[in-house]
Amino acid sequence: MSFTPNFTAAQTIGLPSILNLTDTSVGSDVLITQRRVLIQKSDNTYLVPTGTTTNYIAWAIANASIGIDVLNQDYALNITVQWLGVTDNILYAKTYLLDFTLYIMQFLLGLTTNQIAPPIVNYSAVNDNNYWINKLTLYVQKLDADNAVSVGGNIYASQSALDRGEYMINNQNLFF
Amino acid sequence: MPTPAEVISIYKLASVYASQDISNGQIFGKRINTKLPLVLQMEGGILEWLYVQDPADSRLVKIANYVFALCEMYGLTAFATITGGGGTVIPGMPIIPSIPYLIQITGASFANATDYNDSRIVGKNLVIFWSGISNPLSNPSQFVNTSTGFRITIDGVDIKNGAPESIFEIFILN
Repeated sequence: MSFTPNFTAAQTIGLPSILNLTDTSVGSDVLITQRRVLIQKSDNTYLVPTGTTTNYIAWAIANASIGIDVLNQDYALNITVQWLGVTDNILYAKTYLLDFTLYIMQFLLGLTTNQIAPPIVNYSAVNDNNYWINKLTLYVQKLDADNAVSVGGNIYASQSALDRGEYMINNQNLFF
Repeated sequence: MPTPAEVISIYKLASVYASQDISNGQIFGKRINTKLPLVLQMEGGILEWLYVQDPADSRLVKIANYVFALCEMYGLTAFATITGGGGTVIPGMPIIPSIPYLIQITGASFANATDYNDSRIVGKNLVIFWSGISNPLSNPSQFVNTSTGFRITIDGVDIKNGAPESIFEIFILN
């Protein structure tokens, strides 16, 4: 039977460091004996879990999904899944350019939750024009990162927006 | 209060209305919150993102209510636009007085010489006018109720065959 490789990638609220991959390939190929994941950043280096010595992560064929703990911040990534034969020959491969923005979105969600939480702990900040401009700026970084990959196919622009967002989160006392 | 899913549609339209209002305000006088469309897009976007991630998230309703409140008057306009009207008004149950109900028939409708059958008039208090006669028929000398309608009790009449064109007006009083 023919084999059409495919996969999905997602994050789960509350677990922003975990990259969840699911194999959605259709069909089968008896020659496939192993599967690998390569997570490439915009600087061409690879994300791997601590202790991994290769630039890829093994993904056992028996498991339809895998959770990989590699996202220490928001990233734009080229994610490649390879389906290999017994001699490490690549039979099939599928690559997606995706951005993962859960850190920014969780931070924005936290700001919104604070805005409506009684008592309003940061009342003066919320009424400050800069608060809203900065929150909008952070939100736009997320949108820019999404659009850079989905419309522009540009991993560098996407990562640049995510880095700006990361800076705002890490220096939140200056902005919010 | 609209549901989170409804608010996701509302905020988008409210943003449009707010932008239009601000645009008009540049000509006819400044409106109060010129940042509203931006804030709506952001807070609504956060709501929408959360809804997509987890429609059962416990924070969803609070944030949706917050976003709806942020929509100000534009939210109500958007809600009406999306739902095709305003809110639902449930009228009180009216007390309807007894109103005479008229059934008009001809002699041809009779089942036989004297009997007219109609489930609508069974057990009802009837007033029957026969065309050409100014007064209603008297009960029981000129008609009586039956289990299937009424019967003309005037001796010797054959309405079905003798006066098929006659008009009977039957008023159902109650």
